[in-house]
Amino acid sequence: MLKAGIDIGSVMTKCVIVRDETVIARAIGRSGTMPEIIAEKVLKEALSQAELDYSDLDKIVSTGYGRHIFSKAHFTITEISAVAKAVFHIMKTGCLIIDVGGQDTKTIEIDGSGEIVDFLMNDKCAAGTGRFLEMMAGVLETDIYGLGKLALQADKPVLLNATCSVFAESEVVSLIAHNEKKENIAAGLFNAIASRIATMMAHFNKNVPVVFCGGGANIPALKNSIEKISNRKLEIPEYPQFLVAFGSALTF
Amino acid sequence: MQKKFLNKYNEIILKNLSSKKPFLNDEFEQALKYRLKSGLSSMDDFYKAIESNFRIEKTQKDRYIGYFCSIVPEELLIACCLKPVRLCCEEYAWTNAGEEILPGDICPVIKSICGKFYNNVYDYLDLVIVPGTCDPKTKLAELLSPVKEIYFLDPGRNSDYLDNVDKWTALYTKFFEFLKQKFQCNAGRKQLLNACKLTNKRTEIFKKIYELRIKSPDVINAFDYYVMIYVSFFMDIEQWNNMAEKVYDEAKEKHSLSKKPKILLAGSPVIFPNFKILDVLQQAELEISSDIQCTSFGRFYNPVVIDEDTESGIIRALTLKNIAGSICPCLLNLEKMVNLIIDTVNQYKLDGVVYYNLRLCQVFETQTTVIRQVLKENKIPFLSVKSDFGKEDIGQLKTRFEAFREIIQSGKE
Amino acid sequence: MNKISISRRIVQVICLILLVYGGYIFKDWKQSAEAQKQSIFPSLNAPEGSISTTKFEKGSILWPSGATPVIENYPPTLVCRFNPNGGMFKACILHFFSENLTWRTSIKYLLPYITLFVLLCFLFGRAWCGWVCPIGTVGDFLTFLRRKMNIPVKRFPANFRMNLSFTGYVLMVIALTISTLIGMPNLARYQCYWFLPYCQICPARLICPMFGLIKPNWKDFSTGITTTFTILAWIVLGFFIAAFYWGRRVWCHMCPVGLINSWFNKGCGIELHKKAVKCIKCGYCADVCPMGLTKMYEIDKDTIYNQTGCIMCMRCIEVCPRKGCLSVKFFGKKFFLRRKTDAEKVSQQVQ
Repeated sequence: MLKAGIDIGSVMTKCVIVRDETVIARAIGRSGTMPEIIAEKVLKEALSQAELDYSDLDKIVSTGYGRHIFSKAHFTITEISAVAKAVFHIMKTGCLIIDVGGQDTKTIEIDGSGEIVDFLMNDKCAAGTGRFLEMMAGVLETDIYGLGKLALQADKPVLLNATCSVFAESEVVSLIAHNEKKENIAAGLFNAIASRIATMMAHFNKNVPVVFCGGGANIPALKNSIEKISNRKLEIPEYPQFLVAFGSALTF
Repeated sequence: MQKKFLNKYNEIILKNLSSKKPFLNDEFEQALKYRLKSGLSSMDDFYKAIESNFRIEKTQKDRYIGYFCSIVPEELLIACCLKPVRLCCEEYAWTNAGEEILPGDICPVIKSICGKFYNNVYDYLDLVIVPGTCDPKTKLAELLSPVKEIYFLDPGRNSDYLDNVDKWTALYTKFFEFLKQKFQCNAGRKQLLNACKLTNKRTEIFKKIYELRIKSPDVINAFDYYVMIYVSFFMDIEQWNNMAEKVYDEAKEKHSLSKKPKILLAGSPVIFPNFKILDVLQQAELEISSDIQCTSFGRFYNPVVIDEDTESGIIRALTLKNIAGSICPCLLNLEKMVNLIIDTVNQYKLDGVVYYNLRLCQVFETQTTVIRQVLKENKIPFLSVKSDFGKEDIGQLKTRFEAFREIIQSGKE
Repeated sequence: MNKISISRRIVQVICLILLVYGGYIFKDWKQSAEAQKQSIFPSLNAPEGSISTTKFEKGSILWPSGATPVIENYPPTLVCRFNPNGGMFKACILHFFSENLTWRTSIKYLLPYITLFVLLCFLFGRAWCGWVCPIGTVGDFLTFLRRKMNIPVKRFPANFRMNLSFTGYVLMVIALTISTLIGMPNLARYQCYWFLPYCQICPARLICPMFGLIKPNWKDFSTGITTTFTILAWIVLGFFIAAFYWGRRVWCHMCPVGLINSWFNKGCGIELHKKAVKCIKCGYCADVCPMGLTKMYEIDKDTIYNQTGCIMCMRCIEVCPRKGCLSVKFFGKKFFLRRKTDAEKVSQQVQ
């Protein structure tokens, strides 16, 4: 059974092709202003990677913020159910899932049979999402992965005062003006985001393993910050950014 | 003697807060499009009533009394031949108009009420009764006193019958005396009994509609239901009873076709025209089968039980119906709310509970954790959402509701 | 009024008629002297030469004019001996104990009566008070009058009611002690004054004969003791009328017969159930209780609630607005569900 799962996120669109529960192709592209066109493009790219044609697919499932826009999809599912499915497929046990995406962060708890117990979404406030890190990376004249590398070399992370990401930007600018080291500022930024995430984690069961996925899981500095602040070990599965798309392909 | 609030400063306030019309208020017109979704022809009367509500022609002897909350006993108002008008409103444009009086992080319902009053929308009211339930509503007694005469009714925060029934009876008796004196009417036992008869008839019709909706939620859909509730705010009670009975008679002949999951909606009230939550729930393919909200269930579900049919006995029975039996979270009613939710879900085999919080309303939000934990223990799916009147978070709400539906459906398999 | 109230009123009126005029119906049941000796319920007669039976003629505070004091067989129920011709149902349990303590009847004659009484109480608890007692019926009529006259009810707090019960027990103990004492041979000469001390002050003695159109003995100022008893009887009657008029069933907290019945409430056949998850704490059950009991409102778990003091009038169950919250079971079987009605009957609660 050949299925395609497309995760049309607010920042990136991801696609995976799955044959009998194994991933055979992955593709990613920036969503931009025309998500439907990008979704088509990404799907084509994944298909060519797997040397398949559109007609070979049995099912196409779309998920994510733009799931209702993609007309070619046969089914839609929310990213919450999709990521739960994918993580349970990998872990085979109950756990707490943290998905740090471009414009939202989700924490989802699943039980021993893969059912979702409860979930929390932070999609109203940029602080705690990938958007925050992108903004700050711009201020420090690097990109999001560069920011992560900088943070790993910090010796004394800065404690940020601002709660809102917009105000955090001006705080960072003034810190730079005061000759604060970029590495320490970067580490401080990751700590700020991690404390937001740790607050969300505190709502859930404290005795289950924690799985970290989404685009944010590609940055080791973020993982370290969260582990330090929440005092729990995080596990990152393979290709964390594609988990939601994988999960949507597993459903139906 | 009722104290007049803000006596000294009334002129200053009136002078400085000018009355200007708000910008583009087409919410009502937009909301009336729900008429097309209704499958019942007898609902037309209700929609027509909403359209004509803006023009209230006040005759010489009509007296309109505005009030908030189910704490205020309508029966006493009806017994004195007054027309009660419930003023709770959730109109976004008036919220913006009320920013001048109440800037900042304050309940949007209160803001919209202030906006309406200071723009002379409620000129036809003779008196406004403000209950001392939540904090901003209590302060409304002072904020509105420059523009209207206010009567303040304070039931306290403790909802225990044993400790407080005498206090409540004294409160209502004093209120009744005030009404009789102000409006020069001689209402006694007979008028009270007639008023109770009317409200009991309304309770009976509401219960029939409520139970019909639990079994077949698409026969009278959620929009129709809340439109009926809204019309009861300002319509004469006998007329409402007749119209609602017609709707029930038409609806009970129909068969339910819907197989979608049935949920219970609890929490902040949903008032026309702010039907955003209902829209999104419908798009996410969930049926609102039952509700525990103060404007609908909390207001209509309890009958008046008259054992002692003396005048003071009837007033005492009214306090039990309105205050002791209320579900308002401003009083200490959390256990009652949880019991009601669990009982309704288990008895009628509903699929889940959605708890809707109005943003900036703290009393509802403080209840969420307890309800969540208890429902988790009882294996009932639960989702809590927080929103206000703006339309910018429809996508986010939809994601949550769809995820909830997926959880319910996978739980059923 | 709902189904239970209507049936209760009917039962109350029937019992009143039966207990007052039942004698005319059951007159032929009187058996001959020999048959009486062999029956399970032998007749209990005063001992030979007992002063108590010879001194009570016309003019005595106890006996209405024309009635005879000879005791025939009767199962003790909630009736008053002073009913003219109550027929099979002769007298209340307090009278039964009082009389037999004075006459020192042997236990083997008393056992069948006591067994019957205990059996009935075990089945029905204090439902006798709410459904059968004739002075209760009279009192409920006074309540009805008060409501028609638009006079508000007086509610009494819990400690006042406990004091009343305490007084009732004190009166009962004193009465039974006096009855025992005058049964002793050296004190027998006091029997003419102190016989049936509680009956002498009980209001039923003055009320029940009137139903048979017989004038009860209102006053007797012949001796010091009879004067005292007369005045005490007036005070108690006055309290009875005031309590029933202003306070629904406050008297029943003090009535010694009711207090004896209430011992059997906790384990009896009639069980009142509450399903706590359905309760919305509206307080109606506590508000309508004629005895002023509030346990039904306060209880937070699913229990059988039978409090001493409950007269099983079932008003709480009738008025509860939540279907299925309160119910009545008879030995575990559902006997009457709270409100057979659904929403349609709600408006009929208002007359």
